[in-house]
Amino acid sequence: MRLLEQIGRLALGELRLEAQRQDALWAATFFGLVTVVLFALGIYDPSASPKALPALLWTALVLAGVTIIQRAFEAEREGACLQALALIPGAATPFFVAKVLAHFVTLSATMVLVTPLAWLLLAPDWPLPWLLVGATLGLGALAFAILGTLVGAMLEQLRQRALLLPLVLFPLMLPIVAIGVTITVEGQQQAGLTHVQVHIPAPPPAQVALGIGTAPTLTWPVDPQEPAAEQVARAFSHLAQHSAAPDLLVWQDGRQGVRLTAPRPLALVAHGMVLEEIPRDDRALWRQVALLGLLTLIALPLCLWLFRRLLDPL
Amino acid sequence: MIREIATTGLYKRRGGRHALRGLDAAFCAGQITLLLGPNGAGKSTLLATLAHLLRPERGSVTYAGRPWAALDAAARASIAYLGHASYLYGDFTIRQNLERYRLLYRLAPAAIDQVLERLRLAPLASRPVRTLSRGQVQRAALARFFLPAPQVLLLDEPFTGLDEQARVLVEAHLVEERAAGRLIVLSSHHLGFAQLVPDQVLILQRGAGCHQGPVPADTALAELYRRALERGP
Repeated sequence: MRLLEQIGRLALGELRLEAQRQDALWAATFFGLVTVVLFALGIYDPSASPKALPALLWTALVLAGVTIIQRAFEAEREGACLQALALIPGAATPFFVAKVLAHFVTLSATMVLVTPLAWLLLAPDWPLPWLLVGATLGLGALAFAILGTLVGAMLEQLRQRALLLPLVLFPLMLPIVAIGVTITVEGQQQAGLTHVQVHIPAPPPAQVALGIGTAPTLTWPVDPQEPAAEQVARAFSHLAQHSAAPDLLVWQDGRQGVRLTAPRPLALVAHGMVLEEIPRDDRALWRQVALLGLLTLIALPLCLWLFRRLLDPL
Repeated sequence: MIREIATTGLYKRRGGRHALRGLDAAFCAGQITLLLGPNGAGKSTLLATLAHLLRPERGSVTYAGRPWAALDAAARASIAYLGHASYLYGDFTIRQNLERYRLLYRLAPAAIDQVLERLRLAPLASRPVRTLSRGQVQRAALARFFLPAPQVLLLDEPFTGLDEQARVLVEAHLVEERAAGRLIVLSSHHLGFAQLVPDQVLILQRGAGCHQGPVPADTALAELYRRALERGP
């Protein structure tokens, strides 16, 4: 029997066990959905909702993941099955990889339900780069499954495992989550929000210090098919009907740029703005996805080695 | 093939007390060694150490003259251990459990039906382990134990929970395994066996051996056990 066949069959067995127990899958899905709904209800400012989407997706992934990992070794604990593993030479590798695959599938299934719901509730008008977000969240789920399976096995015998699991797992997940959130935020912005930016000459530093030089911004969906100038003109007419405090300033290429994320654009005209379309840089984003994949790839053999050490006799 | 296991000066602390205190013992293929002793005498610790589930603080265990680290995968896989835990998944049926271990051991699919037949578990094979009685779970654990056709059989209280019929069945299997040249070490609190006559008895008390050798022809096992405990290590 080849190793891949062995892993595949064991992973199917794990998924069958998961399907029979059901609690982890339902708990994770419920947890993810509740997180999304509560977040959506808790954000009053509609213009802030799209910005919250990437953070919310990763929060849901981490919380659903912890729910799954907390139950990951319950079946083994009841029958002391991990000890049996120590008796079978060469069994640790297929067992660990099969567990990781099963946790990955379960977590991915949860995210497949959570992500569209989060998008519908928070940013339905914004085109989301589904492939990029899917790949990033998928790699995040895989990394979580790898690290979570190791930590879950390490804490399997401890009474305080419910407390220790997030304490140990979250710091390990931090680099993955940081890169994943960055990709998701930039991917989402490039897909709709910041294709168009308006730049104005930088006000004197003294004005900035006094708050005079701050410029207003506005959020509105950008249609990639429509020329940027027309979109801005359309946005200006929309802005005239609203008023809100400025909320974002960015510096770019030595000029102070204003993202259109709040009303009162007429002030921008007075400053002599320059309109510029920022090209979408897909390659840079996919390079970051590749980095995430590389980190995940490195984590697998490392965690596998630690898992095998874990099975050594006391 | 492992023809002999020997322990030298085996010392192990467990739960803050001396579970094994400098134990020297030897076990040979084609023999059944019966481990006897009161609760806490070190029987389970010795069996788990022989199975390499516990590492002794001092002393050594050799398998056909070699340490565990020198054994190849096949030799390691030929050692089977039955402990107090069933090593079974409660939500899986007996067959699903055996299928899982078959995959981990990389055995042929026919091995499952053979072991189910051998332990007369075929009628129960489709039932989840969680729904079985204590004795049925023990039989399923024995099926898991016999599945890889081990050469070295280490059994900790294998008759726990078994009814008389199952007990006789397991005894018969152990006798068969001995005839096939297997090395068998088992612990038991039960002294009256129907078919099983141990080739040697190792009696432990407070982690040390107070008798190792065959049962004298003119002495009953219970009498030998009583005298050994009175004499002490």
